[in-house]
Amino acid sequence: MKPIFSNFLTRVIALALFVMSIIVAPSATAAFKYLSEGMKAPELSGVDLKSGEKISTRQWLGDNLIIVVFWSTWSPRSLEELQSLKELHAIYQDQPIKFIAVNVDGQNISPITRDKINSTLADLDLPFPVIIDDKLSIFYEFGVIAVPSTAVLDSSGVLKYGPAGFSLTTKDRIVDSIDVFLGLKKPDKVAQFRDGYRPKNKSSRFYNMALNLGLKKSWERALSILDSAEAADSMFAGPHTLRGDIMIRLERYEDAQTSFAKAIKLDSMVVAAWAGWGQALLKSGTIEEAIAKLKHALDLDSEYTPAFLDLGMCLAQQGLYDDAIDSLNKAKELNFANPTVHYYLGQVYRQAGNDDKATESYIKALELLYPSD
Amino acid sequence: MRRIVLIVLTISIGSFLLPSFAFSQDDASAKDARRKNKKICRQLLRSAKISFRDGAYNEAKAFLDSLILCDISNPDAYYFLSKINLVRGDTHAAESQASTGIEKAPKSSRLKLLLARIKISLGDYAKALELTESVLKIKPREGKALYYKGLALKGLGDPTAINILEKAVETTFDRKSN
Repeated sequence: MKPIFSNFLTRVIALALFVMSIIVAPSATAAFKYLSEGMKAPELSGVDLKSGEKISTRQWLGDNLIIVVFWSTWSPRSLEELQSLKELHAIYQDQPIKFIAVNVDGQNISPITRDKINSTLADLDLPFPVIIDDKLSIFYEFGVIAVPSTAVLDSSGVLKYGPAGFSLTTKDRIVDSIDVFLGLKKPDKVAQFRDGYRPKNKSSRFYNMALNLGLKKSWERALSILDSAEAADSMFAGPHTLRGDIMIRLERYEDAQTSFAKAIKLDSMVVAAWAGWGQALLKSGTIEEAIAKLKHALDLDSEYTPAFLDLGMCLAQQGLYDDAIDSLNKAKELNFANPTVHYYLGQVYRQAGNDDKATESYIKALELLYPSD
Repeated sequence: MRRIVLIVLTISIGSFLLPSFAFSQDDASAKDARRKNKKICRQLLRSAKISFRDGAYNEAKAFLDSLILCDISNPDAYYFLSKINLVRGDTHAAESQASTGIEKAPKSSRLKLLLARIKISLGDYAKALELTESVLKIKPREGKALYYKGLALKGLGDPTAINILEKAVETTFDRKSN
C-alpha cells in the first residue's frame, strides 16, 4: 500500500532541506576584489578628522575586533551604515571592538567635497575615528567594489566578514560577527561566517607585493612575483585571480580564463574569479558563456558591482538594451562614483538611440574624472 | 598659528628682498637677489596650494597676494585666486582673475581652461568654445579641453556635442590607463 503522505512528506522534507541549505550555506561576501575571508587585510592608517591624531589599525591588532567601513557622502546607504555603526559602538563601547570609517569620496578631494565631508560628520557626530582616503590608495589596495563596504577583521587583522553595500541584514550580520568574536555565538551558527582559506604567510607577502606592483601597472614584474606566491602556497586561490585580472589588462584573454578557472578549482566561492572569468569571455566575444559566469558571480554575491557592469555590456551586445540599462543602473547604485559605470551607460543609451541620456551619462563620467572642477 | 607666523615671515622677507632686488646696481648681488626672490615665490606658491587644499582660503589668498607682489606675471597666482573666488561662489571675480592671468600668461592652457569653465557657467558658450579650441590646437588629446568643448557645444545646441563628450571620456580613460 502506498503511504498517503509519502509524496507530500518528501516534498516538505526537500523544501525544508532547500530552505536550510539557503540559510546555512556559506554565502560569499565579496566587498573586496583583492581580499577574501581568511586573508590578512592591508593595514589602514590616516589622520582622524576629529582629533587630528594619527590612527593605524596596527595599534589595535592583538586584542580587538576591527570594523572598517568605506563610506562616501554621495551614498545615502553609507550614511545609514554610519548611523548604524554609531549605535553598535554605543552598545559595545566597553568591549575590545574598534570602529574606523574610511571616506572614499573620490580620488582628489576638492575643497567643496572636504566641506561636505566635514558637515556630514558634524551632523553624524561619530564616536570613532574617520580618515580620508585621499588618493584612494586604501580603496584600491582592498579592491573595494561598492560603497559602502564593510570589513570585519579579527584580532590578527584577518578578514572574517566583508559585505558590499548596506542591506537589511548587514547590521545583524555584523552583530553576529561581534558575538562570535566575544564567544557569545558559535561560528557554525552564523550563516555568513566563512573561515575561508588562510594562505601561508610567505605566499601572502608575495601576493601583496604583486598586488602593489599591479596597482602601479608593473604587470610583468607582478606576474613574476605571482609565480612565487603560487609556489609558496599551491592551495591559495588569490594569486590565480590576480593573475587573471592582469592577463585581462594585457589583453591575454585565454590566459586570463585559465587563471580564473584555476582559482575557482581551489575555491569555488571566489566571486572575483567568476566575475573575472565572465569579463575575459566578454572581451573575447563569447557572450553567452560570459553571461553564465557573470550571473553565477551575482548568485554568490548579489551586490558585486563589476559583474553588473560586464553583464550590462553583454546584454547590450545582444541588443537587450533595457536589461543592459537595468544592470548598469544597479552597478551605478552600488558605486556611483565609478566613472566607468557612467561611461558604459552612456554607450548603451547611445546604442539604444537615447542621445540625451547618453550625453547626461558622459557628462557625469567627466564630472567624476575631473572632480576639482 | 604656525601658518600665520609663516605668512608674516615670508611677507617680511619678501618686502625686505624685493627693494634690494629692484635697486641693486651690482650684478652679482642682483643675481643673488633674483635667486632668493624666485625661492620666496616658490615657497609662497607652495604654501598657497597647501592652504587652498585645506580649505583655508583667506590664508591662501594672503599667500597669493604676496606672490603677485613677488612676481606680478605668475600665472599660478591668478589661477588659484580665480579658483578661490569660484569656490566662494563669486563667478565674476573668478572670471576677472582668470582673464588677468591670461593677459599675463597668454599661453597658459590651464588658465584658458579655467576661464572656459567659468564662461560655461555664465552661459557664454561661444567664448568657452573659442578658448577650448585654442587649447586643442596645441594639445588635441587634452581630455579636459574636450570635456569643456563638449559642454560648450551642448550649450550652443550643437548635435556633435555628444561625440566630443564621448571622446573626452575615452581620451581621459586612455591617459589614466597608460
